[in-house]
Amino acid sequence: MRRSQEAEFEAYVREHRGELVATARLLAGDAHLAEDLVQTALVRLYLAWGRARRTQVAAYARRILVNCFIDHRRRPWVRREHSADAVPDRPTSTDPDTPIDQELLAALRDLPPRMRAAVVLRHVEDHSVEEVADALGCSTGTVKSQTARGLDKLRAALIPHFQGDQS
Amino acid sequence: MTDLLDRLGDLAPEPLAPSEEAVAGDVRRGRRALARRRAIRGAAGGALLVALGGTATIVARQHGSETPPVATPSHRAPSPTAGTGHAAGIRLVDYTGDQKPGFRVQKVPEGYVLQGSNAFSLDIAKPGDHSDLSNFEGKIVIMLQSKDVALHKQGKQVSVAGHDGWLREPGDGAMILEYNDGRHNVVVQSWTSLALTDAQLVELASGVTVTAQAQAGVG
Repeated sequence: MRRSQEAEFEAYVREHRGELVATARLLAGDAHLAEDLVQTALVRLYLAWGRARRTQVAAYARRILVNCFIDHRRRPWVRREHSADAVPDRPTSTDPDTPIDQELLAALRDLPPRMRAAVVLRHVEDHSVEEVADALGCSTGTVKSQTARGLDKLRAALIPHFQGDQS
Repeated sequence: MTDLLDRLGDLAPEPLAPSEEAVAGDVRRGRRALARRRAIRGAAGGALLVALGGTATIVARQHGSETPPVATPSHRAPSPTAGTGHAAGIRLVDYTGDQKPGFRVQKVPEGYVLQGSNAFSLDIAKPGDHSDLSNFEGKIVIMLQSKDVALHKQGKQVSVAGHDGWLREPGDGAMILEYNDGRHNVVVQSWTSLALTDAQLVELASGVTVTAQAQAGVG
């Protein structure tokens, strides 16, 4: 990589790393894993910088990050790390930076990875259906169906809350 | 009623500016990855030239271009490659040390040892690697596939000691070989930085024996 290109990469990281970390935390549900995913994604972005800089870098980086997340979830040892005999308790956090809606975050974590990514990108980060489709490498129709099913699952998981509000 | 979409929208955290240390770390990791990629490409180029009957001198470029290293053929006769004859930078050798519970091996990469095993995996690493056994970076790891996950019959189909296997490289730093040895679904994973060839990973897996202590995970 030429020094000028590396300087561009460094400037990009300085300006946008925080956004990637924020997205990764919503996807991964864990600050440490989110940092790992972002580091991995930025290594891939560095390696592909010559190509990425000629496109929409933000979209390119988002696509890489989502792929890192989905690849991570596919690894055999990741599945093992998350095995448990019983359903885990709802998480608590003492991290002041963690968003406060822990109930919704926990419900998000129960969604399958691609569905979770679709919901996060579309409804948390407010990207367009087309942008989400680009990040996930699928059609806009798939994004719509994934987000619709994801929202249904979230409503089902949060249904005591909604019932309480309705009464 | 609190609207679900409003609650989702409220989850969006305010991005925090990264520290200079974090930025420098990203650049440093990128440089290292680029150097590793060039080294692997260089080794692969060398292997190709050896296969064509010559040896090669690899001239790796330090800076300034994304072009792969230039390989310059020399006129020296090729020296015999010991062991298995693989020329991709590392070779397999017979393993003669103590075996670990769970998995027995016949071959390891030269210079590697059995770091340790637990109920679920055996890690093959460089001497002095004291990382956790669940950290697979830079290692070869042998394990059983999770009980509730079928073999991933994806990628390149290979034969592991007469059994069908599938070799894939998901692109996240590891190559993964899965096969059924007649009784167990076995996963052998190698970090790509080791630069094992497909054939070497298959050869290593062909020498693996699953013992009674091995357990498959769940989940």
